[in-house]
Amino acid sequence: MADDRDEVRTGLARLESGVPRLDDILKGGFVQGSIYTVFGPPGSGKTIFANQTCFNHIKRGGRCVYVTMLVESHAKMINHLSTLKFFDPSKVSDAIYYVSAYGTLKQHGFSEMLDLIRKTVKDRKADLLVIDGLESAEQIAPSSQVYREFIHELQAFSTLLGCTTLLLSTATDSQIEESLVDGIIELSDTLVGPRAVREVTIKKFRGSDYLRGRHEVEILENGITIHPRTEIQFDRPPEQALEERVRMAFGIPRLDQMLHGGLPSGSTTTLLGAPGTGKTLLGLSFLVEGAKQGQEGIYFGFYEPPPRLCDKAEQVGIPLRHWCEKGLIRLLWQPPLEHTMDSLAEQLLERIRDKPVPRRRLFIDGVEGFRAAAVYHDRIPRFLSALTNQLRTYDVTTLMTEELELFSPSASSKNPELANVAEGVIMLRYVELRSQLYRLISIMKMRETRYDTAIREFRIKDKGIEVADSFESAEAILSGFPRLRDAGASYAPAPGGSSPPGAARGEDGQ
Amino acid sequence: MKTVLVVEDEYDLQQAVKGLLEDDGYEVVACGSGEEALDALEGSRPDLVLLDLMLPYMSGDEVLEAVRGKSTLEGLPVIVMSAVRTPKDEVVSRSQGFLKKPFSADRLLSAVRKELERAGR
Repeated sequence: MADDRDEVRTGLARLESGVPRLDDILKGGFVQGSIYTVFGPPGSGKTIFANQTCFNHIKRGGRCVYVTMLVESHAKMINHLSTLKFFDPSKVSDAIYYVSAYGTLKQHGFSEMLDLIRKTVKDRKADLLVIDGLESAEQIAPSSQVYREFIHELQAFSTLLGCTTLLLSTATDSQIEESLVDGIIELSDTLVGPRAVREVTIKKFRGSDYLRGRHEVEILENGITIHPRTEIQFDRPPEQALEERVRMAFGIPRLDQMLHGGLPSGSTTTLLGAPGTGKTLLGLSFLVEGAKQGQEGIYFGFYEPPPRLCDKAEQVGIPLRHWCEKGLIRLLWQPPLEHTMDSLAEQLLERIRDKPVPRRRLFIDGVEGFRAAAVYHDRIPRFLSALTNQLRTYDVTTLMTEELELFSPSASSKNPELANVAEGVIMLRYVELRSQLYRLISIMKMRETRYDTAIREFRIKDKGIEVADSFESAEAILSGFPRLRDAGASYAPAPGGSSPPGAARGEDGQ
Repeated sequence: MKTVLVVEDEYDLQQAVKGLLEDDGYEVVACGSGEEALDALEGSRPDLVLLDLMLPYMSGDEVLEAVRGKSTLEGLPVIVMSAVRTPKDEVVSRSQGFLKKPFSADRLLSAVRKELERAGR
């Protein structure tokens, strides 16, 4: 027979909020019977947060009482909530009961208000209580001692009734609540440059570990979604994927030779290059070659919508559309909206977790997409490190492009941290020679494996991509000054002699 | 002068409704809970009750039940006020009127006049 010893063995019982990812941050949800302050400025999402928690709790058979003070009227609140998917009007007045306590407080004081709350919770058999607009109570209190006693009594009966309590307040400096409550959750809404950023921070959480720091918050038609910081979610990555490492070829003979068979499975490789050097087409070739071998591929890109991408590939003989139709390649395009960096990582990882298959190939077209979504750019190195670690654990072989400046004498990366998180770096560059542009490819780094260090010409032809023989004349390519026209320079002729058959053509085949 | 009993726990709304009705020439007794409403109905019989459904201590349904069970209050017009989009039919049918929150001043006054006329008051 169960007794109190069971609770000691199993730990504290939890009340799940059901707010996406919040329970992960709280390592299971609110502790049942505890009292929490949720504070933040008007518009930060406190009321939505609390109502969403209530309606999710109701779905699991719970009952809620929602007490308001001086806040928007119940009618307005319900009207606003009715636009959100979690709201179920059929539950109002039965499973969730809205009452106002401000009149009682104003006319009869704290003792009467506490009595009203206690009786309503008991009568409605509620196990989740929300008090919205608590700052009104603090402001109206004749002394801080009266308010302190009120919070203390509220805490005592919450514990006795096993009723989890959320106190919503705009007050940011209530030391009374801070010292008495079991947990403090801050919702903020700030401008970072031109961008409005909502965040949640768990400032205190008794009885459990939790994910510290700020996490981004989105309010959409489903209500609140929290995106925990990727680097803190996966701060203890497991070992490498268990699968034996094999080579993942590009299907481009010379390049695969340079790589001694292909990229190591489960690795991450950066494809560096200026716009138009052929990064996207090389990445798509990598996916198509995998599909030919029965390996699933994912394209995760920010710039080109899928139809355009398929057309572009078809023009140079890469049968992308065919493999998409076969279901072996999925194109996940992120339209240029205001994403959050962590939500992008979640989307990607969810797709991979949904259907775990070995030897999957991933092509992230534009790591800048993550950078553009980042509110705090100093997070990027840890973010990319955590993301790539996670991808490795799922046996995903990742190729990600990074754009270099088109007119720059040096090959400086905007994300130098990528060199640390990626096992491999492949560079694509233009070289000017005899008034023609040529593309070059070189492997700059390939950790834990041998590779060919030669710089070679890289051609985009009607029937796909070719990598040609070593381009010995371009010794200075990596210095950023590839035009060898200084006095005395003896450059090698371009392949094909005076007629430049390998001269670069646009990626679009023009 | 007609008397209206306003039963509404949201203090600001209660006071706003009270003020509007008083400006329109009604005498208004306002209370914030079902228990207070029943106490008020013990001592006097208003011409109409404006009753919120979600009240502390006793719900609006329970107040309505008690009102309908009292012979001294027979025929007393009651207008139920609620923000819930799908009110229980039986609650509405047991009252004379239903006013969906939020409502405008015109809507409130017109509903009150209509119910009073219908009750012959």
